[in-house]
Amino acid sequence: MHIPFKISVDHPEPLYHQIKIQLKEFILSGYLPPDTQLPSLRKLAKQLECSVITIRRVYADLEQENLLVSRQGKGTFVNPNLSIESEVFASATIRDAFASVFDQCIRMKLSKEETRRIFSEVLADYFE
Amino acid sequence: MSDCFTLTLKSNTKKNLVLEFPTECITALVCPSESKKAEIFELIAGIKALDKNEIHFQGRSITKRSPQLLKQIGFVPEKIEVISDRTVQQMAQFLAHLYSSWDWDYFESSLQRFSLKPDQLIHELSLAQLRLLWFVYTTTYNPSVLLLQNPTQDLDPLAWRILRTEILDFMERPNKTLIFTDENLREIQRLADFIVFMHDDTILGHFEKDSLFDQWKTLWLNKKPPQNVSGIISASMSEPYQIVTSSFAQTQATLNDLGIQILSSGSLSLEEIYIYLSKTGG
Repeated sequence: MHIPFKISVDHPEPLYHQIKIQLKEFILSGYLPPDTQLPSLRKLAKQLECSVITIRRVYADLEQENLLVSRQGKGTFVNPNLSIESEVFASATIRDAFASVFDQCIRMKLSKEETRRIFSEVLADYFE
Repeated sequence: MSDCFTLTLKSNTKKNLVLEFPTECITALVCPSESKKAEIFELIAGIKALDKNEIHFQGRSITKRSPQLLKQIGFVPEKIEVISDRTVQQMAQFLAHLYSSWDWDYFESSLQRFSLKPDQLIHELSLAQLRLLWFVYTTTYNPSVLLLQNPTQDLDPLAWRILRTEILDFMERPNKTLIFTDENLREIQRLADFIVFMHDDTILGHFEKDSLFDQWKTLWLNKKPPQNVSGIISASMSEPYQIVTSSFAQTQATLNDLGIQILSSGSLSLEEIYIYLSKTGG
């Protein structure tokens, strides 16, 4: 199975993080439905040309978050009991996107008030 | 990861070298000295006497090899010299007597994938075909540790593609350890989980591949950085301001504190990392 990841070693985000976020999105968006078998650690490492250690870590983390389950001797699957509310997914995705923008604001040393002002201006451009 | 295959090279005059190869992982040795890499392979494969050196494998320290241990190690050297009138199949029959783990079904399907014919005379095969055949023989007896010396050498891109897939299929079997060398650093970057950089009798570094590329970066900045930013190993102090760091996360945090913006970032090649490591001694 080919999962269309887009990752780059030139990106400032660690590979582990890029893979984890994208896999999570594939699961939460329903692109990988519940009970889908994921590629083996080695197969996904081959596809992404990354280390098997990274894939193992991503699978373990998403298992902790109850998005994946591993079955002894069979492999790793999307949790068959996962029920995804579309609003919950939308909310989680948008929260992640805002978090990334706010991280950038902090890096650029913008105050809470300045951030709020810019945010309100952009919001007004779109919704008012 | 359950275990490590370890080779300790003992020295009376220098520090011992401890080479660790994690189980279920692929480790590449990057070292300009072909003889050093060959020595390591020959010590592990039992071609060279261990003498005072030591192997740690499956929870045991080994100073003398047993035939049982040697059957758990497979070595596919770069150059194979065979003086034999046997065909591919006759050699397989001979090897099947030596190795009780011999898997005929795998052997036959594997020969087909490499377009090798059972009735071919071994001494008539090209160097590349001979290495592919040796890979098939070796993986057919299913060793725990597989050593590949310069596997891409002399192979056309199609043959290498098939071999690469076969190598990764071998690593899907439980509890396998793969150690390899290659002059093609791009292929090392694609295939390895761990990379050990060596220079003569020194280990310059032992890295998990992805953390290596996550941490070693070239950064382009909007302002001139001060000299003391942590992690910087080289810097161009005229515009465009460009630095090389071996601790990206740390350098990024320091630059943020200083209000310096990273305009762009890029990863380094293995060759570039090797050059920096050899300059600093690791």
